[in-house]
Amino acid sequence: MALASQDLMKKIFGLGLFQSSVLWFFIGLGKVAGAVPPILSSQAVSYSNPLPHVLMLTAIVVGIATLSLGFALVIRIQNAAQLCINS
Amino acid sequence: MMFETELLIFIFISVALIVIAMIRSNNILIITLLSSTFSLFTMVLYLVLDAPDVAMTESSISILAIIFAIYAIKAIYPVTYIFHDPFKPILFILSLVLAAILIYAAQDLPEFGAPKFNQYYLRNSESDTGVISVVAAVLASYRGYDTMLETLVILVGGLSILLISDGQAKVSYDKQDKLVALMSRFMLPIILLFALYIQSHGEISPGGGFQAGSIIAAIFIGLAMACEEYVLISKNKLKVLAVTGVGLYFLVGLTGLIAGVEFLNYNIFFGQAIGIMLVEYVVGMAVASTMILIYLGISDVASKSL
Repeated sequence: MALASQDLMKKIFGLGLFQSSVLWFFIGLGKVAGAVPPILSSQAVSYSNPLPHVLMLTAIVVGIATLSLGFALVIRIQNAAQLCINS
Repeated sequence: MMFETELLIFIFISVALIVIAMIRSNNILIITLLSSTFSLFTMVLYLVLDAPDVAMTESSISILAIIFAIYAIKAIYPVTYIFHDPFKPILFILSLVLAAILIYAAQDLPEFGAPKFNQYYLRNSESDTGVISVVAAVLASYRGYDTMLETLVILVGGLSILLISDGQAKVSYDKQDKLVALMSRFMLPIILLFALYIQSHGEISPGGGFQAGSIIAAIFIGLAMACEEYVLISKNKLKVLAVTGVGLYFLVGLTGLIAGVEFLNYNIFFGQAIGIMLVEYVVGMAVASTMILIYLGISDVASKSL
């Protein structure tokens, strides 16, 4: 519902929310019960799956790059709309 | 971990409440505040789910996203921050249907917390690469192509924001607030030290290039917000830095080709551990300069629109 909003900023926030929930899903899949984070140490027996961590790490940074591009675009859209309304 | 199930239930319930409030709210400032609370809970969730690297990245990057959002909000909303969205019941029903489909599909997933079969990285990463943080090894060595191209994607995002702002990128300085300047002069060097620690300890503990890069960017943004005029790097140097970051990654991979084996094979010239360290530093530099470029671009677009 946030994605279908007419308020542009709310749309972008909704997009960020959606991206976050996808990341939750993947990282939640990678957890092993009773295990430690995937940093090798001599005391641990089992580790959580490191592959989803790696993929989601870059996904977060790419997500913010695209979201900030969205913010800049929304500012320009509003400017253009304001010019149309004023003239 | 002690109260794991209880913590997870608490996090899920709070996040459900936060998300409902975000969707139903009309006031964009409240939505921004709730979104930063959401990212706080997300970070705690990642810690509970044994993902400290991702938690650090999430926290440092969400801060940057909120800063950019606030600049955009200041530029867009003239006087009042409230926007009335008509409530459409069809959308609510559609999202309930989607949720039902996803929950039905989730029955087929393996049980939460069951041991997985992806043991190759855990078993072989110490002998192959010599670093003990498996996440750093997979990121920079086993999946090095992936990281290189994603850094390129981040760079392209930053450069396109410069395109939107017509190539201008400067911050407008108001009168300097004495308290903010004092606190930033006190705290930011310590934060810089911490960022360099995170950067260099990426191989033996949670950390690495992405986290450190975004913290360094946040330091510069803090200095810009405190209106310290002597500090800001010029936009051209930043562009050179950002492109050099990606270019150096490419070059480090190229040394493998020069030595006669495949691209991004660091074993011949320096060995995997030093190769991973180089690549992490390069990624940190690229991410930091791109984030500062994005900040300058957005603040310029925002200031020109008023």
